[in-house]
Amino acid sequence: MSSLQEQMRTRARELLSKKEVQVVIGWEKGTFWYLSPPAFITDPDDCERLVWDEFCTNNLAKYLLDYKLGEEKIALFVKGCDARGVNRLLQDNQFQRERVYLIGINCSGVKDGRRAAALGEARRAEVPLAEKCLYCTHPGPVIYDELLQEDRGAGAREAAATAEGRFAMVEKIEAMNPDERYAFWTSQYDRCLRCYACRNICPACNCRECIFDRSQSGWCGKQMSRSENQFFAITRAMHVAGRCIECGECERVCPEGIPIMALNKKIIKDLNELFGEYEAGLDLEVRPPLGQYDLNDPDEFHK
Amino acid sequence: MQRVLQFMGLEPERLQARWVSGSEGPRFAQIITQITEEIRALGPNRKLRDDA
Repeated sequence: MSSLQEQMRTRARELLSKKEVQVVIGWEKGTFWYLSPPAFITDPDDCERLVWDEFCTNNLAKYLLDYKLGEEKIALFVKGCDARGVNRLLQDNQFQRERVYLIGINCSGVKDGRRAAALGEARRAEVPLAEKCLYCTHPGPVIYDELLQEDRGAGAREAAATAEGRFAMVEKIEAMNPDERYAFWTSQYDRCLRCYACRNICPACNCRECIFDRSQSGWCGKQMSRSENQFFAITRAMHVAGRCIECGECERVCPEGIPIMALNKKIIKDLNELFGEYEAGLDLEVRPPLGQYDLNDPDEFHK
Repeated sequence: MQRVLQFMGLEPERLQARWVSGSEGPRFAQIITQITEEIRALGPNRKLRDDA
């Protein structure tokens, strides 16, 4: 379909044949036309499976963790958000830079798979951009070893012109009164199935043992109840505080359509106000606001 | 954290953090008294509960 796709296949085949890498992680065509799930390719002859289309939504960074304890070198295709995810994992010392070869793609934004399913294939051109792409600040990868260029020169999107709307949802909820806010979140999280898909897909969630799997510890029970669900919601959000790269994967995979990103963005907005503007996963050298101590840090509790 | 609780619709006063040294007994007592009064004024928490 696109020349970018051809380049992806060619590069993957070269890297695998020369044994420079043992695994290539990209996207392949899924069961439906609006799904392009991750593909894990080890055989050079399988590179024809790789695709690049408007549904290559998955953030591939997370899958590096599956190879964390191995020896193999991995080639990974990175859009803007994938690259930031990789940066986050590197910064958390979850993966060695030498073991990953990053092939950058200037992302033109991916489409909303659920809306696509509702519209049908005949109206493929009308499918809107995914929510995360509307407010994307870095469509191009912030870290890569090589960058694939589209022949047509198109593709590279300007850093979202609509980035102003990034916190619109947060501001809307902030404007409510406390009881309305509580009612809003209760109605959302009462639907939570506690499937932990949001945690499993998140490139910031990389604890070896997650607090939510330790049901005997007494912090958070497995029970699906109002109190436990909201405790889960708050704890999950705080655990990725300052590390969320706004890839929106948690919200995308949520089977109940809970606006998880509204919570994440609230924390990002607060951190920006308290510690100065910061975007996670942009720069390996800049330490995250909650990962360092500065005498000038604000202290809202100290009176 | 307080801001997040507020965002979820809770009274932020219910969660407070203070630094008190082991040698600051009177200050500790004063802070606890103050927080207790603030929370008593709010009344029992009815949110985030299963029986509410």
